[in-house]
Amino acid sequence: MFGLAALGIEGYPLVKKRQWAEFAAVCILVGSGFVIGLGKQFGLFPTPMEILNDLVHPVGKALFR
Amino acid sequence: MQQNEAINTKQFIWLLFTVLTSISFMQLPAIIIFNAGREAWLAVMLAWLLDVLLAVVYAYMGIRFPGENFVQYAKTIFGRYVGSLIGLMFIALFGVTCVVLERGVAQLINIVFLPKTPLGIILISGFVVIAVAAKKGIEVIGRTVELLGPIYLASIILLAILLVPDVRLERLTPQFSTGYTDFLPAAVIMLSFIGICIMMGMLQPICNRPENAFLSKFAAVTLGVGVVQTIIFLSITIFGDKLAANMYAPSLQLTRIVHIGKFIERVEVVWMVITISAGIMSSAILLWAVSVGISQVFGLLSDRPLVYPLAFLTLVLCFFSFDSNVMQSQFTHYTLPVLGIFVESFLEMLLFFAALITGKRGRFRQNNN
Repeated sequence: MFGLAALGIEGYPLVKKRQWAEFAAVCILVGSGFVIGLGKQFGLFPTPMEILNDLVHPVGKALFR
Repeated sequence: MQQNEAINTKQFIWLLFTVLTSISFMQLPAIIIFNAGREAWLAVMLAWLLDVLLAVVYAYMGIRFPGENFVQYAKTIFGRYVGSLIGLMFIALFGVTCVVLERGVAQLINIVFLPKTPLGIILISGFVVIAVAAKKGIEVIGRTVELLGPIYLASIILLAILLVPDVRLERLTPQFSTGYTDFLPAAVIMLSFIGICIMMGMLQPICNRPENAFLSKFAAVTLGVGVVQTIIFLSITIFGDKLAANMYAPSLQLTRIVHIGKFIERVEVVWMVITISAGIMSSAILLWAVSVGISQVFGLLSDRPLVYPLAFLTLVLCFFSFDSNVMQSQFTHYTLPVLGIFVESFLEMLLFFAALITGKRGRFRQNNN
């Protein structure tokens, strides 16, 4: 709901002003949110921060106590 | 077109102070004490010194590329594609920090004050406020923190004064019992957290007196580090290093033992309100920086339409990236410092040396585009 609201509030004025690049950016950001949320909810793939954590956590573990 | 916003030097200082202190105030003292034990104060001092040296580089780059933030001068130095990639890494750090900070604040509220309320409700409420604040722009946030920052600082000073009777200095000794270099990893962690003041690179171009950037950052970092140092000192001298190292937020535990006479107790609620407000404003500042950065990397006409979608994306990441509170703590302890050091120190030094070697300089930009 929050995502759809963001898309509606920001998307509609951009379409009216024909700012297509901004509208595309808004759609991509909201779409990413939905994809990440649904992917995690259905156990399809981890979130980008989990991937980042898997990559960097061992380095941090080696450096810090 | 991009909004032409301007902040004054005082707002610049309080913006940096609020971001730095919010990020460092909750979990960081315990992490530093866990890594450095009784020598935690030394780790904080060393990190402060290194951060001031780093601030010289950021201020120099701000003067060499007037009116440009690091996203823009990365593109000037390295060209459109590599520069954009470097710019995105800075922006990603702000995004990740925003997620970790807001999740940390929500967890604290959930654990301590609202244990029966679902975490999702706390997160959504927080993000609505953050999104509205970020949408209003940096001038409004600047005016808010100009009011909130001194209250925040005063509350911490008052807390320290009220806790003085409980301080036991002998808990600080012996020093260097496990070696002379054991505090160095803690200094790196501390540096990575206070290094979020690279935010000055985003604020300097919109400050009405950009030549004051270094002094502003120096003042903000010194105040912020002073706050963290005070909390670490109080935690060790009141709880002892072993107990303080295993607390989620030593600052909260400190507020819980404050009492004035026998009639004023449980003042942690007052402290909590101030801390949450500062945390929300810090998240708003970070969200604003991400939206401005993204609009500059992709050459968009305006950054404001990106704020609500970005708030939604960070909310999703906040909610789904950590399966438990322990995972957030582990991320804060082991992952965030490595990312911070890479972006704040390595990438900025790369830009600095590349600018010197190639001899590139900026030309003044009137707007942020």
